[in-house]
Amino acid sequence: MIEPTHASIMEPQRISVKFAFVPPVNVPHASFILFFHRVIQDKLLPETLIDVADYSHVHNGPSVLLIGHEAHYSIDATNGQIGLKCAVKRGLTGSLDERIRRTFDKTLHLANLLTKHESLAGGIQVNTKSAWFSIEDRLAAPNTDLTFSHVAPVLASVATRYWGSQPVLSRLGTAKETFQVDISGADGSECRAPTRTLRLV
Amino acid sequence: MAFLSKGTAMTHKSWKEVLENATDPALASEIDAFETELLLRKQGRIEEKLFAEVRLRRGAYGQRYDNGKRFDGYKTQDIAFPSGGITKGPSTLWDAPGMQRIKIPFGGLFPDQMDVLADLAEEYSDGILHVTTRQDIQLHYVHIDDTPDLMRRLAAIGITTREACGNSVRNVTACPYSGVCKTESFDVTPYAKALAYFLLGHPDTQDFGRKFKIAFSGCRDEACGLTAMHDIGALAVTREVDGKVLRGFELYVGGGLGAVPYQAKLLSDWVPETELLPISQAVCRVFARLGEKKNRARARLKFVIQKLGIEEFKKVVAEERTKLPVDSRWTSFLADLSAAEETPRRDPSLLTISRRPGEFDIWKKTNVRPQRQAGYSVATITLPLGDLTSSQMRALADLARKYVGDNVRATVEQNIVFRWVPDADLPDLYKDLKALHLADPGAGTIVDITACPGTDTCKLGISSSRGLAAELRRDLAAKSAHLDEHVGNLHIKISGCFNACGQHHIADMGFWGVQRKVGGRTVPHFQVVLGGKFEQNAGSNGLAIGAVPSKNIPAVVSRLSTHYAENRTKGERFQDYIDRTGKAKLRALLDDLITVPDNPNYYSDWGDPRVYSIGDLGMGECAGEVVPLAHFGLASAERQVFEGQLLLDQGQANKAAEKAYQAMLVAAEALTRQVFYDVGNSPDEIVREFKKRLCEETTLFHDPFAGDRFSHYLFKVHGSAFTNMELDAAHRRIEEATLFIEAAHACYARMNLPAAAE
Repeated sequence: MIEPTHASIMEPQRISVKFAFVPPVNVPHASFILFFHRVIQDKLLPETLIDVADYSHVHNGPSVLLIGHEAHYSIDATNGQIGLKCAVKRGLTGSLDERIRRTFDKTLHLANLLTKHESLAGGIQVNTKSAWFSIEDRLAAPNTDLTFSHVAPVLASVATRYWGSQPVLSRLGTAKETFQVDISGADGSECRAPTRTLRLV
Repeated sequence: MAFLSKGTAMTHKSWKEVLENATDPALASEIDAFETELLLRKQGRIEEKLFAEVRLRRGAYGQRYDNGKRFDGYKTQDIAFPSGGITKGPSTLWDAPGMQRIKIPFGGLFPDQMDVLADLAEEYSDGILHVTTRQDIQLHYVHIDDTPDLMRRLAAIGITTREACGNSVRNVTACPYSGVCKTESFDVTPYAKALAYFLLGHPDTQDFGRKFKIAFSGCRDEACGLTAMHDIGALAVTREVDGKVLRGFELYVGGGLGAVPYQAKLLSDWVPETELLPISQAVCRVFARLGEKKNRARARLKFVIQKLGIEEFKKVVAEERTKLPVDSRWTSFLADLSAAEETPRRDPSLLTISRRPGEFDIWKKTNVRPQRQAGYSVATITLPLGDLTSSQMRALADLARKYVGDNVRATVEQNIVFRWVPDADLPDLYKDLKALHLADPGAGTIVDITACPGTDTCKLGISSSRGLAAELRRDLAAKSAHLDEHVGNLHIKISGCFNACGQHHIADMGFWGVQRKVGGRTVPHFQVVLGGKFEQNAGSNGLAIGAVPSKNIPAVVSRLSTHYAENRTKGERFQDYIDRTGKAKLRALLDDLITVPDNPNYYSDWGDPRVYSIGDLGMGECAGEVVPLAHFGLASAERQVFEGQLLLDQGQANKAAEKAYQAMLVAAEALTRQVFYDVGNSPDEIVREFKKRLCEETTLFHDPFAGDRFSHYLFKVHGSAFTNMELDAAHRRIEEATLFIEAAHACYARMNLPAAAE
């Protein structure tokens, strides 16, 4: 009897961005757990955080998760590539452009903390030459060329602001997987959050 | 789902619209109703206690910290959920993530179902699927607002979450080897399936004071079904009469773990297959009628049997059986037992020696079990702590399509099995599993540890059962190549508290979480339980010999297993060794490990660097809320009136008026069932009995001031056709239905006045 919520590719709620770490990663797993606990203890992120989950026993999974209301952050090892993933689950508003930018900002903010935090002793370098982008909503955004044709122009526009020049976008994954795109900076350029775009509160 | 995954057109539809034609209408309607109840709760129009039980019966469970408090290691922080004060149950905030339990009867899964489960974990959860000790799948960190769509996507592939939690019949479990086992009497799968769906939503299972668990086993001596620890345990047996082999069950009742475990007692050594469903139904009715409703700690069936004695209980059940109206479903499934027979994906074949990849034999020794059917085996995929990622689940679905088709099951040891693997395919399957990091050996051995969620996500967890399990698994896996064979075959099971969800009572070495105050510090501990028996369907329960600091448990395992390996007599099993050695001596063996040393490491738990505290324990939901059956009926009536209003707003006068009538009917049924439990389901019967028992023989429904006016709102529309209604008329029907339901509430209050006065 409730009016159904209609899925729209231009208004997704679940967007993820991941930056891989530069190998080798010589930080013990326990240090990541400690780091995420410190993020909660010291309120290092301006959002509602709930708990830390340890999935290190699962291969190529989220490894360590910082559970939040709006987003989960993880030391993600999907596809065997360890990195920082931010999976926004709810609370995104505005245009697709704004939603993507907010997700990038959140990811880059935590990546910045991660590289500098004392608990990790500078052991992490984030590879910002490329990023993995996903919309985790199979209804609004099945992993098809058509979705790509809708999302790519907006994503390219946002990515250009972060990489400084237009990056290369490549659709990844199978039809069963979520819509996902590899974003690679042209000529090895690196992603940097424009200071003015950091709108985390 | 496939049509979406492979779709070429953009959709702007909702899941409800997209799946409309792919879903059983009854299931779809239930989920729509649940979604409306969410809205009503948000508007404060359903009380939180009732809503808690409603969502629990849909499998939507609370999680740790959902009261908005969390100890961060230094202080208790408030978690600022944006929904503010809206709750989804007592002390349970709306926005707090919860756990969604998904019932998988007897653990049976199809590849398409596995795909969707993977998708749901990825989109609504944290990308992890958890297999439980009841063959369910659980997703964690799910927002309540996402649950209706999640349920719709499950319903479209034939899965319901109905009655996965709460005071209801939980997932019916069965031996994962049923049908392919060499020692079983017969395949219990179709019987487990028939009973599961017969009791699902059955009126006789809606008024329990506590949960109710059922298990099936095909063999007496194996562990697989764990029938001795269930409210109903059905053990397959056969009898030969006049040269014909008849199928039946030894039926056990009143088993259960929990704080104080009870071994199930024999109800009957021969329940013919035709009587399985009616006898089970009779047991449920007796439980609903005689089971405790107020004191949750004594509300399981085991306490009814303890109170009555098994002989009296047998008489009461037999008497109840004679009262049951005949139901064709009792036996209709027997006509087509062959429908449950599985079709192998590939032809049988023999394993050839030349094609074995490295370490294959180590895996095969523990993870492969030859089937009764020549040329086939069951392969166990060991899941660490019962967990796997969405990607792994999706890949497993593809492997199932390749090797075994629809023949996949989740197990009570928190693993997944592939049945009907042709023997010649085992090396290739092993290689494919290895590529997914799912080819760990050790299924059913000491490294294959069972653990409940514990402090990770459970509101009642005291110690980190998963953290300890992960540590022991790492430790034992590293030593496994050098472990004594008899030690390797031991079972370890861990619970985060005394409630025994990790089944610690039936392990060789079981542990359950406790805490101790030492030198002003709270220190996580585990009680050490020895002597339980997993085999013989959970044949005996162990006893605790003392609490040991969490950080010393790996040393406990090492010391006990070494002592066992060195001191066991030839052929002596662990339980016999425990009995012979004596608990006093075993306790003395651990004496030095019981003391907490002056070491800060002991003040935190496994896998959690926070200073340990139990200050943020929540209220458990395992028992659900004991909500009288009439409350559900009245709440359902209110929901339907609300839906009628929405239809009216949409200009659908006929449907609105019909909905108003149905709402009154539901309320009338709820009240009538209070005085005449066996009122049928047909509208005519409900109205007849309501009129007779509440309006004529008594005047219970009559309002002190308005008299019988409200009852006539129902009587005048009963039997009417809802066609050509004007909006005004439909509007009046909605108003009348609202008044009728208010009168029903008042009537219910009057009916319960003496009890309330006490």
